[in-house]
Amino acid sequence: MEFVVSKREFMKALGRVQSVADKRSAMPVLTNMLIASEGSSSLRLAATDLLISITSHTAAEVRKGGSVALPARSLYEMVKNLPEGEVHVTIAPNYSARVSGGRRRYDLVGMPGEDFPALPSPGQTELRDIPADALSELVGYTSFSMSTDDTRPHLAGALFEADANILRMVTTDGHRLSKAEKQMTEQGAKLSILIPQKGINEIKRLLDEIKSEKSPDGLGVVSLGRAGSNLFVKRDETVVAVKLIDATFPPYAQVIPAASERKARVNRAEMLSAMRAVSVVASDRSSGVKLQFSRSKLIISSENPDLGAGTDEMAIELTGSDLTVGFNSKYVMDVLSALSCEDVIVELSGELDPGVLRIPDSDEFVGVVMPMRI
Amino acid sequence: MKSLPSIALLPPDVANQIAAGEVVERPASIVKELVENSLDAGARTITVSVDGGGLARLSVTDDGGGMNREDLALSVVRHATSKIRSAEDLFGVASYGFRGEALASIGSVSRLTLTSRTADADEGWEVRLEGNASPQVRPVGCAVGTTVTIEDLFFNTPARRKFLRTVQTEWAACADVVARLALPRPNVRFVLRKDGKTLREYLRRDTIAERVQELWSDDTLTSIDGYRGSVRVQAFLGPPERARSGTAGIAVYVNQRFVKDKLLLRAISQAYGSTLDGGRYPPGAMLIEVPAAQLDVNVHPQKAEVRFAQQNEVFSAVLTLLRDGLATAPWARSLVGAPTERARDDGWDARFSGVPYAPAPTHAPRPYNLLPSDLGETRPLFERPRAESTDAETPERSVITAASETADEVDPWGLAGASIALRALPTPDTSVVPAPEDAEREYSVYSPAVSLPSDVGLPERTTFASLRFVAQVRRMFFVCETDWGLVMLDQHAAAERLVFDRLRRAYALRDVRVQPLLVHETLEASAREVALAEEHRAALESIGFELTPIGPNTLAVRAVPALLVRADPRRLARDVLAEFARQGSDFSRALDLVLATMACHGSIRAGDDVAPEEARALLASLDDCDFGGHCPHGRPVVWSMKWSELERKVGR
Repeated sequence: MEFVVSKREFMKALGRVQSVADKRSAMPVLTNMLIASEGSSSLRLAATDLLISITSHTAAEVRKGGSVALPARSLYEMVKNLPEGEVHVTIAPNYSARVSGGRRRYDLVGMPGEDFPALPSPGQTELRDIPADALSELVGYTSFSMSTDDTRPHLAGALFEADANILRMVTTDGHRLSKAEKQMTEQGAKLSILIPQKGINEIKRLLDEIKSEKSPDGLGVVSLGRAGSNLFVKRDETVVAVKLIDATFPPYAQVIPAASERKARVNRAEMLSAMRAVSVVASDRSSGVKLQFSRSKLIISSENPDLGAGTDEMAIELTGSDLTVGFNSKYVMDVLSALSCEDVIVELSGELDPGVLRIPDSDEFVGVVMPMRI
Repeated sequence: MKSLPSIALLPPDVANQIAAGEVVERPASIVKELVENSLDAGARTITVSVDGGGLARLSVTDDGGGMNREDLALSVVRHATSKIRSAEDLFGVASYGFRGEALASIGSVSRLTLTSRTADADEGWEVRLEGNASPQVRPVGCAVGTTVTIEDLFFNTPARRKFLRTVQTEWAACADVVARLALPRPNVRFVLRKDGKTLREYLRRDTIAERVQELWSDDTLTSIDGYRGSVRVQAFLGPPERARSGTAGIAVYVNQRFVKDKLLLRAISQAYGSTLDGGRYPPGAMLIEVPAAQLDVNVHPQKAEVRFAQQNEVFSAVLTLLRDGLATAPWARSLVGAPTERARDDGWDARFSGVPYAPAPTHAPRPYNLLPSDLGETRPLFERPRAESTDAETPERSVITAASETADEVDPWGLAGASIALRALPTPDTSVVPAPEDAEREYSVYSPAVSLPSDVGLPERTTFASLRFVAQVRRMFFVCETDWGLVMLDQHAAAERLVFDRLRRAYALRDVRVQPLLVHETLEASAREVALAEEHRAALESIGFELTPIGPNTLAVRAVPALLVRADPRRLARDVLAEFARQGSDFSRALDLVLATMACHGSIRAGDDVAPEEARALLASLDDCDFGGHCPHGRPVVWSMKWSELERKVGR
């Protein structure tokens, strides 16, 4: 196998793929990435950790076709250190690769491409186009409240639902829940899947790359669909495949309070800053803060028997009677930081009933946080 | 001076009551004897009814062979049995019962009615026993099979009655016994009734695997089945992250007989290697079959212990088969495939990060090798020293080195060298938990011969805060330096001590912060655990838990202590209940151990990455702890070595 490729393009594709390659895998082939020729002018690069796989393409002048598996991290570092311009790669019959650019040259031990595990493919499944900015918002509004505990797979991921013209993402770690929805102008296929935490992170990365392109035409679309037990997210020549969680997400609708007795309109940035300030004294793990809502004022305070106390207050508009309620400050701050609106609506009933945060005059986001008994 | 009483032979009724003490401890032990009789009689359906925890009324009905008039009258006489005829028959007993003690013993402490009809008889017979009155036999109409009904248990032995627990607890114990007996007999249907309502039914199944699935519906079990020599091992075991402390979650059978065998339990824990903490066992069941001639079951009146003629063969057969089987378990494989998704459990990481990768075996497409053979380098050089100071919570502590002749070959990950001082618990309340359960905790795995002089704890006037954190190694230890030497800390033990201290302080101040759950977690629990949760509701609430029974075998976790929000509520609740079960009803005695169990969940674990800032904060906080040098289980947190000693070692 032999090909010539521009360093800039090659680096882009390598960067996309190499992070998935498993650096510490007990299955040595997984520390590699696959490079295979497709026709005479394209290379396919792929890596997987058996849970996530990423395939990307790059234009290249293929002089001799074939495939090879090369150590992902090392190859990336080597190409990075080559001078700008063309990179020339030749694979010897014993699968050792010579990677050269300018007068620099590396030799790298490889494995036959056939040893690389077969990667999932969407096959004939039709992928649905959705605006990248909508997906990005769904992820941003919800990803912070996934559980990070992989032994509880039903919570360690995000529920993604697509109805005819609505997209929805919901996450919960058992203490709090976030739900985001986006109206779509176009109809599409229905879908209801549970995407693991790691998959969400990979989708985030793909979206970040799209954002960094800063295209004047906006973010464009990504195509997405399920085939078998995998979710496929495709953008141009890059495909991310995520093995879905086979578990049942909790019945989230039951958890979102249908009505509330009290409603407060609060300046988001001000509340976030007050919470942050006061939680400095909250005892580290439980980080409990007290919120005293009254007609025109919200007092946020925290007490720590080992340390001292802190307090701050701000003007609000409250409908309903006064209420004091305790929250884990981190849970509330996570919601406030994920939003970008000027004000938020805080809905409360009793001191032990779940609190709800919303964007004013919008159904796009619902954050539910269980109070703490303080 | 009073004269000593002369020796006299006891009248038979007194002898029966004494024997009853061995066999009939509580309603559950009667259920066990009677159901075993029914199984021996070839029953296809067995109905167990328990009213008022078994104290008011208890009956077992089967559709087995039944008895004729003569047998019926004889069956209630002591040492009358159909199952053996001579002392030689005692070796090679294939039936459950054989002593011929059960019915006579039960009859001596209750009002017992026995009705039975054989298939070829037109009518059945009934015999009544009441305390020590002589048996009455009369004809009666009944279905083929046998029904034993026991009323007013212990009516004539108030002392025994006094030691029984609540009705709910006794019921739970009966339910556990039925589940235990149902497991190895999938072809028998079991119906369990409580106060007139059918609460559980085990339908007839073709295989043990199906029955097991029914019993452990909450867990994904790996099934293992194989022979080694004349030993057959069938096992259904859960992943290490589902392990629970104590043996309540694991059932071990030898020739279909439920046993509490230390040797077999040890084989299970060794097969899991370092993925299990000492004293934790995976959920599931293991069934061993050995030729009846190689097994002595006549060791214990309740037949809970057995003795193998070929002990070492059985041990190594079980270990080898389990180890091979577990290596291909889905959870083990997924760990190999994606180590970043690994279970956050002690030990996992030691296995993967400390082990050099085997070079790719000549492009073998399937290099799933969980058991690298050469792990010599990863064996620790020093033995973790035994704790020297005593602390108030764990009065006894012991390190007993187990026989190590097999240790080399049976320690799959070569990590056995990390000898750990395990706490010896206060003697458990034997009326709740049979004693052998905890015996398992008393040994530690194999200590290597090489041992360096070492120091536990810090010299006086050295504070934890003054240690300069250098690095985290193997995601298990902090390495720190001081002016006088090198200090190493076990990160999990240190963090555990800290959380424990905080929990205890919060409890003392009645300031345990509670985080109610938005999404309630439900857990499948044994009837006994459900009973415990009810019995200890107030105590659990005082430490931040809200556990509500929502079915005969289901608990809902509604709130957890706010300090432990990162822990899995289900696993946390299970372990806390296990600790309660072990300690009996004395909450104050259980408190520290329960808090220690909780601390274990809320802490940084071996295998967690710790940022330098976090490590420094942890060190600084340790100074405020009482006994900061030991984890709440009494394991030492720190090991140190003076520079001078190190210099001497390297010949400077």
